[in-house]
Amino acid sequence: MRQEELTIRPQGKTEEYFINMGPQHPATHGVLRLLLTLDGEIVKKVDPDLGYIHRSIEKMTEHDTYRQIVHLTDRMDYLSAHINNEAVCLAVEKGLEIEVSDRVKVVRTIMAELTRLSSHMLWWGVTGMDTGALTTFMYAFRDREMINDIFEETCGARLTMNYFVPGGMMWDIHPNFQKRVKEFIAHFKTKLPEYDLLLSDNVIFRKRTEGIGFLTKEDAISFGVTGPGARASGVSCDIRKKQPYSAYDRVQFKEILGTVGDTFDRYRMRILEMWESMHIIEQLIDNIPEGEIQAKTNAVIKLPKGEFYQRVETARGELGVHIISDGKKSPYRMHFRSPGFANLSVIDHVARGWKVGDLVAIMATFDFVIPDIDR
Amino acid sequence: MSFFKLKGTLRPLTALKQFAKLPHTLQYPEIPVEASDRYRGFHYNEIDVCIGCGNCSTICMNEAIDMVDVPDVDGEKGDSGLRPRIDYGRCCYCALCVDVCPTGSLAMTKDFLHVDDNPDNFLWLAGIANPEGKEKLSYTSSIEESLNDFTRIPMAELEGKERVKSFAEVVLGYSKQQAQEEAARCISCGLCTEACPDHMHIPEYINAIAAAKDADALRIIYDNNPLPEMCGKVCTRRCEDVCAIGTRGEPVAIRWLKRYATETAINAQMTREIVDPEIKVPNGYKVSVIGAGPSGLTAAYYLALKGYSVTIYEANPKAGGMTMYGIPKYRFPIESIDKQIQYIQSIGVQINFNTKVGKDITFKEIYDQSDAVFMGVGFPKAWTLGIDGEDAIGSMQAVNYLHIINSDEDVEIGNKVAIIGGGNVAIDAARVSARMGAEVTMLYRRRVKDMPADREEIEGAEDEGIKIEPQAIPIKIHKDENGKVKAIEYLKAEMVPDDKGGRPRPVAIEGSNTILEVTSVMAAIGQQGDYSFLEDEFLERIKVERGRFIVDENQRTGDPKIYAGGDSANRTADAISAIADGFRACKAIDRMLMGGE
Repeated sequence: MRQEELTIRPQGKTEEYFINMGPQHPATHGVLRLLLTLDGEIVKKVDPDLGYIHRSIEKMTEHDTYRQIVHLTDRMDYLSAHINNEAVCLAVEKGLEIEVSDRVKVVRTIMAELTRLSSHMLWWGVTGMDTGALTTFMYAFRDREMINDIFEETCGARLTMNYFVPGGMMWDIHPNFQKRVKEFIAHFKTKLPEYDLLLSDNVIFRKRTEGIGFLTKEDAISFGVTGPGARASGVSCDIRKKQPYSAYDRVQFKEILGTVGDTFDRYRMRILEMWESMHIIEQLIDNIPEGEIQAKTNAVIKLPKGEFYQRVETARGELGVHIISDGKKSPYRMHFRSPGFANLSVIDHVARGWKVGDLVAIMATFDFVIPDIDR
Repeated sequence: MSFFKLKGTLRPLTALKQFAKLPHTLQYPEIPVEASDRYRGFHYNEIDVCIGCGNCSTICMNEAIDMVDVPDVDGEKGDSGLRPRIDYGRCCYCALCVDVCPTGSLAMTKDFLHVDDNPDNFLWLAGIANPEGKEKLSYTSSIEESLNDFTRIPMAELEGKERVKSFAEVVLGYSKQQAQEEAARCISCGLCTEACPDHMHIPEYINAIAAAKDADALRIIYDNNPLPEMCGKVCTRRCEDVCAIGTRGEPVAIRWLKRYATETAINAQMTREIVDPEIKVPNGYKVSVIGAGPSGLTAAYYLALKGYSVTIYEANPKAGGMTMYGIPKYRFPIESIDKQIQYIQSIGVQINFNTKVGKDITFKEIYDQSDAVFMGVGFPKAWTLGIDGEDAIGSMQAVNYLHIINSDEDVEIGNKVAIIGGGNVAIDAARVSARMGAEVTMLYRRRVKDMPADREEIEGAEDEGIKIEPQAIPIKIHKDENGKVKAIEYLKAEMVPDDKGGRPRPVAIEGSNTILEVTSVMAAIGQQGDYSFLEDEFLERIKVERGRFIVDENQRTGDPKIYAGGDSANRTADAISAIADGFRACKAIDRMLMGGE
């Protein structure tokens, strides 16, 4: 409900009070604690409190070898596991100055887009749930299961794949891979319109999201918001377009941009991105070139002295991997610029003046994965 | 109500389409889900193949793998007796442990379901806890995809035809880059350290070489081996036999890497500058060492570093013992040994050359002058064949022949030589004879595969055109009218399995006499000690059994002041064991005289 409509106040004096939302709260999707300052139901201030799932991943990298680091990134934004793996691999490959084969590039891109689809599906399911529609969760998980099966068959794991290694990938794609991906795309093309029917056009959902939680283009830029959350405000920030990596330079796709920047616009971005992801996969799936699976690298990779930076577009926004190497087998310092952290910083700004229930909808459309924020 | 609102109200009703369909969730009773063929589930470890190197435990960044003692598995050389235990509260199923397993024993299975309310039941000894896993392997380690490098950097050698022309060193050594690449293959499991009689710090110096810190490598090597260049060239390298990489590929060239590290110091002075050992102030004690062989030199070097005044008595004009006089110069050049002896002398070890104990000085004199005595006297006397005609001119012992050649003296061997024996001395004598221009035949009573000599030495000999006649038992040496060797007569043998379970015995075949015309015969069937320099009172106290001194674990003999090591005290009889003896004795002598520790 819009702030302007709330002009009639009860008589008498009101007092601000604090309430803890989380760390155990279903709408925070993990162990995030939001310290809310409320005046009645109106959010006056949101103070996110982090650290409940901090695992020192950046510190751990300082005594792990580059091969070992890859799997740690599975556990940051676990819904973008493939893309995180890819980011580290690309950064290490940059340092080693090796070029992976076209086959690896294409497979990485397909996997990344499947990951994005799977992540957006899960997000769609829980966004419905956050706004009171339980059915969406069942729909999303039904279709997401197909992607998980594809991952399991090729990568040997369903969530934390650890499939990409510096120089290539762990093993070649499964013989069934192309067939099953095509089956999935055909299936999902019929299901995605159903998602729209079920939720996007739902009048209750529209009421909960349209015109709620505006974020202006300027604010999105100044807070460093990336991903669909920023693109809804009209910020063109898709790394796949700006700095194409892997096989993104050889495929056609649109960068989805919004105009309004409200909660529904952020929702719409992801639905449209799913169509684009399917479009990317369709272009590549029949054109996987032959090539070696792994470039020749030493068992213990040593990067030359220097700094290496690689950014990729995860399902949540821009992930930057910054390696500072002193020539040893472990990085001197490794930093992850995770999209969730920057996106969280804007939540106070966006949610002020809206009701607690709107805060849940706003948070849902920023799609937070808490281990990505905390690392 | 606008059209939009009506649409938005009705459209979600499409969910009713699903009303009569079967649910996508699993029904009870649960239908078991078969994981995909590549699923990375619980581990399986082939217990008999695993050598307990602990590489899996090292690579695991979650510290999910502990190496634990398993009662059914006996630790032995090349097997630590430990096996990986995996904590499934920590494991992340990344499969790096499988990628680095050198033996390929560790694999992952398709099993993924385990329910228990006791946390301890999530600690699995892979393979023992789940023997059924063998049937469900998913991710296994193949040689091609393993992160280990199973191929050795080849060592450059002289061609066989080139070699026989001179005594030039056959092995040419690694370049810096080759050494670094080879060193990078090491997985630092430390099984080699355990197998080395001297327990050298092998992974440490290999890592230093890999990190291009050659000086550090040399310092680490000198921690407990003062003759590393000799070991780098001629060591029997028990370490490489147990190398974890060697279980499926070629072991890391530990010997060549040590050789590389020692060759970075081109002379004794440079060695001194790099190693720069701490020499303690003299403590006033005097230790005498008899015999400047590997064990004696080792004891002397480390005692001198500890501040003892050390004197070595050596009968020959040069130090090194059997490594100087028994090993041909194409394997161990004279400059190399000189460099190491000069370095040992430079830190204050006094070597009295040409001083034979028992002749030039009595043992009693030395004993009375010193606070402790170390005997590294070795086995100077060769066994004789005990057959007719051994007194013929041209019939000699191989060790004596090598001694003469290494002393740069001449001896007539003619152009056809027969060598009796199959050990390293026999091969050395054969290859030296070949370099002297003779046609060489080796007679060995068992099969070629039973020969105790190093495999590559045998191959080297064959490359140089040496003929090996296996299953031949010599029975007589024929003389000509001048008393010179004319021919050797031998019987062919057949291998008879030993009833007691030992290795097959050669049994002569009656009437298979063969006569081989030769100009000289060399026997290389082993050596023995010569303890005539010891006075009777000492011989009573120092017990000798089967030709060797009896020593305790500290190399101490029956006389508390006398220690012994090397061939004359241990049965392994190689240079590195002798060095280990010397090192142990040094520590024991230091404890005895200075107390403490």
